[in-house]
Amino acid sequence: MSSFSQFKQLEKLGNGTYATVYKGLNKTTGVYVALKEVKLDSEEGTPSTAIREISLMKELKHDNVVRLYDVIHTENKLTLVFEYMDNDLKKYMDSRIVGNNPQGLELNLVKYFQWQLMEGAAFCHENKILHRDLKPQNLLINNRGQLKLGDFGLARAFGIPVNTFSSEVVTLWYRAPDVLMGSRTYSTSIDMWSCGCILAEMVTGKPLFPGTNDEEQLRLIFDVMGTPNESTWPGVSSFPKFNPTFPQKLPKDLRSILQIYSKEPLDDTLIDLLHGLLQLNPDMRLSAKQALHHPWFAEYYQHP
Amino acid sequence: MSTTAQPKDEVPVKPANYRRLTDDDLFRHSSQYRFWSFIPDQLKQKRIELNAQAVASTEENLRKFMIENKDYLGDEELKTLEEKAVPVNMDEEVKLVNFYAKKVQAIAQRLNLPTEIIATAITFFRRFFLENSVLEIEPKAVVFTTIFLACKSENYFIGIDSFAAKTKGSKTEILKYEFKLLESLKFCLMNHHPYKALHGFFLDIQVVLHGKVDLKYMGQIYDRCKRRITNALLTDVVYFYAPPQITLAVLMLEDEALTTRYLELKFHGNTESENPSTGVSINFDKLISMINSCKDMIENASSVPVEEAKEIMAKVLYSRNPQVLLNKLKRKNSSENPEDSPDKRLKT
Amino acid sequence: MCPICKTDRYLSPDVKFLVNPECYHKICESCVDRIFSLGPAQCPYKGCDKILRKNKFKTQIFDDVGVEKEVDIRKRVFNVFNKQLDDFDGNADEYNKYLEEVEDIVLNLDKGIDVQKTEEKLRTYEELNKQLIMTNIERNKQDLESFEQRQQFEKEMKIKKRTLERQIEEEERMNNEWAKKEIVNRLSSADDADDVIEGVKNTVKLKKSSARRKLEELNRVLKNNPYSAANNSGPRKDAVPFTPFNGDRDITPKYTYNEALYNDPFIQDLKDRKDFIASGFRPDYVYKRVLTEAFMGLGCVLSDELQASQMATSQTS
Repeated sequence: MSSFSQFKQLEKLGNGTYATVYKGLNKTTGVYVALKEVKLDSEEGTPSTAIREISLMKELKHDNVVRLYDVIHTENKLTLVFEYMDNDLKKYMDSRIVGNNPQGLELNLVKYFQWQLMEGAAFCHENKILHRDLKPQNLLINNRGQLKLGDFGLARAFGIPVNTFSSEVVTLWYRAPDVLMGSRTYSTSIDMWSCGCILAEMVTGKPLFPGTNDEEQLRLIFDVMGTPNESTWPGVSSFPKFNPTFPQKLPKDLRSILQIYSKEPLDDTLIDLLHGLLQLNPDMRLSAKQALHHPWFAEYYQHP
Repeated sequence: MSTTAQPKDEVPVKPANYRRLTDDDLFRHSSQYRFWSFIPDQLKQKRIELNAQAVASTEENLRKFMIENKDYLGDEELKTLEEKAVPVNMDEEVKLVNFYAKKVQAIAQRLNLPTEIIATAITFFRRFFLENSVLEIEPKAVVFTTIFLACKSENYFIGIDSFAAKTKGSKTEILKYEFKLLESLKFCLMNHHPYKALHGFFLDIQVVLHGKVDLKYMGQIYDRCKRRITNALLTDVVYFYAPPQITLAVLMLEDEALTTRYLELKFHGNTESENPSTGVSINFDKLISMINSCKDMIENASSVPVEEAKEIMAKVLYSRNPQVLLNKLKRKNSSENPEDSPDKRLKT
Repeated sequence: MCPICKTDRYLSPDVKFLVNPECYHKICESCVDRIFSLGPAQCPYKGCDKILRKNKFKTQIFDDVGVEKEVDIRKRVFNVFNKQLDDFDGNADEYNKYLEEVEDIVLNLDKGIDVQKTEEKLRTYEELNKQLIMTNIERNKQDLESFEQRQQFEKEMKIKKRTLERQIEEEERMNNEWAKKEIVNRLSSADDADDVIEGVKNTVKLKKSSARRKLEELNRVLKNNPYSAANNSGPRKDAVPFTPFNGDRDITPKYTYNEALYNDPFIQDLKDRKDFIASGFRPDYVYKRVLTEAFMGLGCVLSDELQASQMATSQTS
């Protein structure tokens, strides 16, 4: 256990879901850290988001998950000491905007990032943990091109699905259609939808489905992926927010939608992976492990 | 097509130290294994040291108290102090913690919490007193705290107000030791309880003993074993055995013939240390003997009678607050009125 | 000089000569237009009775007509005989035998040996292997495309790299100048020269320029160049099934999964609920998870393992 005086607090890095994050310097080791300050709410005690993040991060040690080094308590706040990362994917992509034109990343970089994202997600899922808030802001990157999952404030362990999951999870743009329609029994597939949205965003440099409310979000999704019905997605009409009068749309060609924003030709395997991740029906969506076996990643396969 | 040329499809050469990560390794990576698993001697040593430290500081305080008040202390007072203001020893501490752990269970059950959360609350409570002595923090002061934290960490949301209302506790009391609790738990809040393993064995037995076991009976066993597991969590087996081993011990207690049959069919032939067909790297005899000793521990665990717990609690109270003892003596001498007994303090 | 109209390069420097693979006689462009515009006609060369078509005329690439002819024949033959080593399952002997055969055909056509028989052979083969030939054409096209893409990509990257390197050089020069000035400045107000120099040097070190970072990234990208990876080895089939534990997770289950035999009223009930179906719920997720948990740690003999680790730590300390 370290003491707070061991760290020098540097500039503010941003606001997490429930805390403020500062850059810090460990004065004894000379290593940079990220200090996540949680205000202790005298009302409810330690916020459950912090409790959740701490408890999950303590079990997760993986190259693609940000490490929690320590937890420090001072009078009225709790400080989580995390591994320091130079940037997040959102800021990184923003930094590449030229004028008003978003720029996609080079495809080989996209592939490397997506691979790491899938590895991190697969590891969480293998450990029975849902992240539930995957988005570029929560994917931290460093100058060596490593990508790590961060901000587990909404994450939770999962077991047998019971009707207790909140559907108020995941930032709107990256929220899966089943969750948008009010599913409360979702599982790992909700993270996979987010991964699909992130992949498309890395390719084009702009969010795939930038809705402003639940209805618009669903409309944007159906516009591209087609409107689901009982035959394409059994049970879909049983969702609380399913609307039989959704405008009926046919799936569009993803490649032509994305290609205009990318300088490099998008190959079939990439489009196929996107289709796998952006399946409307969660049952059809690729799992993280399946995605890692996708031919698009062939070059990263392990060779013992 | 010719089959002569196959140079590309050689068996891949694995590095000498190549080893696959097994399910057992997954458990070895958990905080439960890393921080909360012990050899019996180790655990005993830990408790002895914890107790010795607390006793030393309590005795030091008592000495100070006697020096400060030596002018007011007569023979009778000194004799009473010597007799009753005695710090508890290690065995008494364990008994008191176990007594209150049962209270945690009872209260959590009364709140209708799910089984796993009750288990977590019990686990938190018992771990807390592996790091803190009852002489430093009264067990009842953290009973609600552990239940409240267990709810939070298992995503079972209850607001502090409704929690306080339901338990008739005070908010500040509930939250007072929350951080101390987190810290004592080394911020590791994820637990592997034996219930999921029970569910797994419940399924696997149906396959291994297919046609030889009545499904309705299996359902009954399942429910009874669940209760037995909760009781096992009140014993030290949680520190000495992995969750599936505890589950098997519980199954053994419930129906020895069935469990033995299952294990024989499942692991028979596990004579070598590694058995490729089952993938479980444990010798059959070793497994059986381990399960049996775990079973014995669960079976022989005795619950602490209320009277004994009260006596221990009184010792804790008097050794920490000698003045209370003296006040009581004074009242007793003046009016022979035994009303303000320490018994009341046990009610939570 | 065109042997037909006698136009020569001296008077018309723009004159272009074409040949027709039927006979490889050189004719200037305007003669070709004039003679063959109305349809096939005989070669205007004396003694050549080949009937030529205008659309078959092409610019001669090689000075030596013999070479030109052979290259054309090769192109034609290889378009049909376009098998690759992979088509022989990597059997080099078979592949070599096939290549020999193709060389014979090329030689025969080039030298005019058994022309008719050889042409017949070519046609028969084409007829029989149409499907394979088409597939291979497609593959070759892709290979070529990806080769071109790679070249393009590498060219761009190299340009970027050079720019960055120049930028870094410039920055380094500036930094050195700055350091010199800074040291002088600070020395005027400090005592320990070594400290000051050390301090300034450290600051310079910390000033890791963004150009340098970009360069590092670029180098990494170049190293992981997907084009080269895809080209060198193609899809790798013998890869180990991936798990997030770096491919080394034991994936043999410790149980025989048999959903039909599981009597689990609670899960079976969920399986049939519409909202669970819609959310992608499958009983095997739950079953497999609890079955895994049943054997997770079963083989850990805590008393032995902890004893061992305790001894290990006490020995090292």
